[in-house]
Amino acid sequence: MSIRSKSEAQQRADQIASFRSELAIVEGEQVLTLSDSQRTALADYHTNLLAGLSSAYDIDTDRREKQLSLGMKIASFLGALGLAASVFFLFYQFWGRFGTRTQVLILMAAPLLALAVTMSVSQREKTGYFAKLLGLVSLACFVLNLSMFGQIFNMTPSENAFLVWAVLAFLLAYAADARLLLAFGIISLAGFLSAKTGTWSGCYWIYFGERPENFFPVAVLLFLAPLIPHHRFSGFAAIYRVFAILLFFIPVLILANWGAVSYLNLDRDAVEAIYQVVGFLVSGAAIWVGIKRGWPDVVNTGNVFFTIFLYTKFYDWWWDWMPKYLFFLVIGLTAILMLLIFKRLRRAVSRSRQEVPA
Amino acid sequence: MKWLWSPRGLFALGFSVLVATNIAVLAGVAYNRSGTPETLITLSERELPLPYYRNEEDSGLALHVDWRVLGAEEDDAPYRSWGYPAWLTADKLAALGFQINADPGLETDGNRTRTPLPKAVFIVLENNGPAYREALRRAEQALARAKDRLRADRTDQQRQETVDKAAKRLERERISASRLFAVDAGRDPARLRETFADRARFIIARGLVKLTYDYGKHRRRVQGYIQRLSVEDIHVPLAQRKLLDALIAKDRSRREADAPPRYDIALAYGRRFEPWIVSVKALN
Repeated sequence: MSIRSKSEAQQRADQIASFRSELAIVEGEQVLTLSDSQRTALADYHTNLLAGLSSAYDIDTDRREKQLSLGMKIASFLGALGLAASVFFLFYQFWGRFGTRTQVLILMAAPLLALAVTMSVSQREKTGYFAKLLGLVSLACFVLNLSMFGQIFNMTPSENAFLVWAVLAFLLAYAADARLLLAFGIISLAGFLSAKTGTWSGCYWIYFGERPENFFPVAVLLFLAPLIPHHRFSGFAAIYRVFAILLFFIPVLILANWGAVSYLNLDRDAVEAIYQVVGFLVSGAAIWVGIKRGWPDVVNTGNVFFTIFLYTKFYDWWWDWMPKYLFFLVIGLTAILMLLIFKRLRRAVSRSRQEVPA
Repeated sequence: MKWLWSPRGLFALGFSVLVATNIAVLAGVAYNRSGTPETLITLSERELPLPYYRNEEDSGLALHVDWRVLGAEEDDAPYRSWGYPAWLTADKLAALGFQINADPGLETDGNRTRTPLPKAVFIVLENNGPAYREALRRAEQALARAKDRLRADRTDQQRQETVDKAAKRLERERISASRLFAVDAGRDPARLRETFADRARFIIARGLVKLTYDYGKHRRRVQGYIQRLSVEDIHVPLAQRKLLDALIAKDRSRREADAPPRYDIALAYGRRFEPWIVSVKALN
């Protein structure tokens, strides 16, 4: 098996750890006993393999290392946010003391310098924590660069800024395998595409959020993005799918309760009814697709929105006239019903899995 | 091609994005400021006042363009019709690209009349012209009316207060209120410039216009509203800050005092209708 990325290396290491603990149980219960030579050969093979993976990808080979890694991830995330905010405030504190040329030079040089440092660190450091941290600082410098140019030269605000921020965030995310940067890229792209959809419909771009349907095209695009294989990048496909689902269901939820903001030139009640049906059908479909394709992120997000749509409807129908004890009883019984449905689905999935080898 | 998708290649693309974006933005700035300015106008502290509040952690300085409109009501207080100019009628809104429902009805009719979103248009701002003189006339008439009412009953405390307020309004209108009024809007800046040819008196700036409904007793009435100018805060470069910094240090805001203006600013608008400060001059 050829290993091409850190996520694949980590997956293999986890697989070896599981195999070792299962083997210990199986041997303890005397279901299987390896000879000394087999045990030695297996141990040597795994030790060498883990050493190779560890040196090439700096993976966590045991639970303690994993816990420490989690701590490092959190520290890196907080550090990145802190440094990015610091860059902003540092510039704001002193920029008024500089002439326009100096301001322009600082603003242009900052992201270039930060990017050069990010590139250099990413080549030297295997863990990638510092590269990810510096990547976010580079992006913050670029955001500062364009937004301050806008202020210094009194420029008309443009949605195109979101596009270039998205492009840089995506490039850095893929170069440093950084999920946080990918999320920033997705949010910026969502802002740009939704604003463009809004302007095509005749509104000024800043008000794209006032017509929630503007988010649908970007939601579809993001859901399709993981069709391009992302094996080399840890968790990227799931992030695309979760953002796609959020960018679809949050607008649907708004429209299902506030039809006046829709593009549809229909009566407000009709718009709300349409989006309530859409919400139920698509969240149900998301759960089904998620189970079929083995996407737990899609199942969970679909599940959350199905529940929200259901309870919102219950509230609309029954809150005013039903006694509260009865209302909450219905909520509880619905949850039990959903639990039973999921149990049946789970059983069906595990049965179909057992049938595959036969 | 494979190299391009490697981390090194992606970083190289990142550098290209940074460089290309900066070049494009600065080229846009150079284009805006090239040639003869679209507008070159002198405004005073009345139209470009010092900021009320300054964040201690922001060393930059920007002046807010204080523009006004004349409402339909004769007796409007200077800022009561803020944003709702009399000239922004249903016909004008239609010309700006809004779809006007001939009979918007009432919300309770079940007639779904969705409020359209704002549109980007070009707005004509007139400095110290007929619109300002009309505002001045309205203030004078308001004072005359208030005095007439007081003459009928000099013991009425409320009438005396109305006279005092009207006198203060007139004084502010004469000395310190902004003389910059939004007088027209359109989609084609060249056609607007043909109509408002004086580049030293009329600014053509980008702005946002919105269609709103005025809820009357029986029906809704279409009303135009100027939401804002696209660029309302004008950055002051370090080279032009000396006088303004001195005034800020002396007195953070002169607004309350209704004092006469202390500076004039030459303001230019370029080919992209984006402004910049050309010079700042002290007034005696």
